[in-house]
Amino acid sequence: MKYRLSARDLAYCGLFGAAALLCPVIFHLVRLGHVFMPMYLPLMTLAFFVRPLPAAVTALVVPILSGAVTGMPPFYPPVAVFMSLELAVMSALIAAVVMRRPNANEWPVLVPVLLFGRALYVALVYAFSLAIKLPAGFMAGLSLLAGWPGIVLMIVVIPPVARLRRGRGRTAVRTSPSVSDAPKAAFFDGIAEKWDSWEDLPALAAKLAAGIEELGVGPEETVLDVGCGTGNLTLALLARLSPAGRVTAVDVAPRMIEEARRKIRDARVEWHVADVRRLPIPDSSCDRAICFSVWPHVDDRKAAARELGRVLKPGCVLHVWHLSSRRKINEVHASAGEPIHHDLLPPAGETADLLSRCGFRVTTAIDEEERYLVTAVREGRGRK
Amino acid sequence: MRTPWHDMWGCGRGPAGRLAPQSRILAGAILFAACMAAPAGTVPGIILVAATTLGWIAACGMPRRAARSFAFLGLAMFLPFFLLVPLLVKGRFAAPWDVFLHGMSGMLVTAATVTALSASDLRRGLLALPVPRVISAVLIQIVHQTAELLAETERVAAAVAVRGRSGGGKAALRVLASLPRVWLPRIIDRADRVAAAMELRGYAETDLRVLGRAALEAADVAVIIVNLGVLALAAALRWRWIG
Repeated sequence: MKYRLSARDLAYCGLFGAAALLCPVIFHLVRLGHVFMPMYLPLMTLAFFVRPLPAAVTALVVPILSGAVTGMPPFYPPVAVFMSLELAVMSALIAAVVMRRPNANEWPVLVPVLLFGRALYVALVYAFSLAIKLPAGFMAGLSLLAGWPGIVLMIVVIPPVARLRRGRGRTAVRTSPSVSDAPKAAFFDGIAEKWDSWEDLPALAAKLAAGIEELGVGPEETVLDVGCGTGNLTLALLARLSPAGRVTAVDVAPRMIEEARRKIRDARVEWHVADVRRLPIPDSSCDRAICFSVWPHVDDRKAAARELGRVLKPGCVLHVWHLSSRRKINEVHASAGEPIHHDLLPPAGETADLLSRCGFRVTTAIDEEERYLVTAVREGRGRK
Repeated sequence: MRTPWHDMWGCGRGPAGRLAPQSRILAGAILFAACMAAPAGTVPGIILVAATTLGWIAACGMPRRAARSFAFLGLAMFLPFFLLVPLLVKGRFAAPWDVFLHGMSGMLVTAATVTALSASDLRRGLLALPVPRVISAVLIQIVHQTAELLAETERVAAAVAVRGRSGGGKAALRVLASLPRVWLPRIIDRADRVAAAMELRGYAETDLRVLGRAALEAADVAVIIVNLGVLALAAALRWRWIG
């Protein structure tokens, strides 16, 4: 399968790769030389921000490129190749662990990987020295000793910087607990009764009505309201729809659905307590799906996008919609309780990229101060 | 502050510059392999390595100043291997000499290749060669961003120079302390901005395309064949098929 680099991955790899090439120059300026392995620092930091393949490829090419242009590290003895291998393995390992456990503490991830990488490098030096009849033990020992200041520097510097990723949404690769997880459902159950008291409902209703009009919801559509909560969007949709229109409202928290049903008694609404990855809805049965203020809480977004693609008719649209900017939303979540503390909204481009990889054609990707909106059309023949 | 990065790309003025970019990359890679394969312990091997290296430097038109810098860097890097002689039991000079000859020639051949390639040639050449697109994309992006970051680095260097000593313990400590607080976070901010700009322009959606792909001409094919011949000769000397 063809691997697609996202713009974010490419930008991070380019910038950090460039930094890895220039870091030795800066270190030389202040006479720190290669004692601190300056090339390693940006590359190991990068591994916390991007997926394993781009991280490994960047780590693989930087020493080779540096060796070609500046002569350092040299190609023979193959220090550049050994460094490439060591860095690529370490980067891939770190990125893979962080992808699986995005909330893991950085130190326990970094330290064993750095030690493993150094052991790998020393083993390569030992083997090569044996092959070309240099004193293998001496060369390996030298490599081991020379690397320590750099390892200590990385252990001190990288974790605080890597922690910044939590506020920047490495979300294309995050697989933190899904919306169906019991703690998250329990969290939303716990706040279901208070939810509407935190909102300025008339103002919200006005914004939703205006938004729905802008989205172009037709009067006879069947609309899927994903993560309906206490039904504020459902209400706004019902006001827009004709008697022939339908709303399928889905939420993972039973209490939220109870609150919504208490507010809305309308035969056009079908309620479901369900996980967005396993919707109890037939294939190609919806004209539109709206994920309003729910996308950050869906961590297995790829599976969710595929499932939404399944229930949408070909040519019909999916909206990922918020009435605030990504920055504001992420700030609110970061200061919230533990179950949603790490639920971050990805950049609009990243959401667009994900949807385009899941059978959608993205038509809108907006992240403004008052609105975050990604609109995508399910590919396939259908209505225009 | 001028770095080798500034000076090196495409500064050569030799006939190799007239080859298609992909031919220059391929020719450099083949000659590098030839230098690595040739035996350092025989006279024909040494002559082959020296002739290949000097010939390629001349073909690429590598500036003398750059060649001299690399030669000095090579001496500084590879001569210390002779310090290992007392630790070696048999063939005492063979191993350090092997490192010196191969290291020096490999470095000079790759540096000469770089002088025959501008950054845009690298892009065109890479995209024309069967290199995985992920690698090409990352490599091209790194080369581009390095040029961008250099300007910023130069400003930092100038600021450090204006404030007095550019070295010493205090400056070193300041640089170390600035890494987690200033330097790396700034890179992250910049990466976010670049990513946003790329997303806006739909960069990720667009496959890398070769604009103005250079077609291979007779000269390209001839150079590749000659270089393959050099590689075959080096292999023959290494494995004693001849001589």
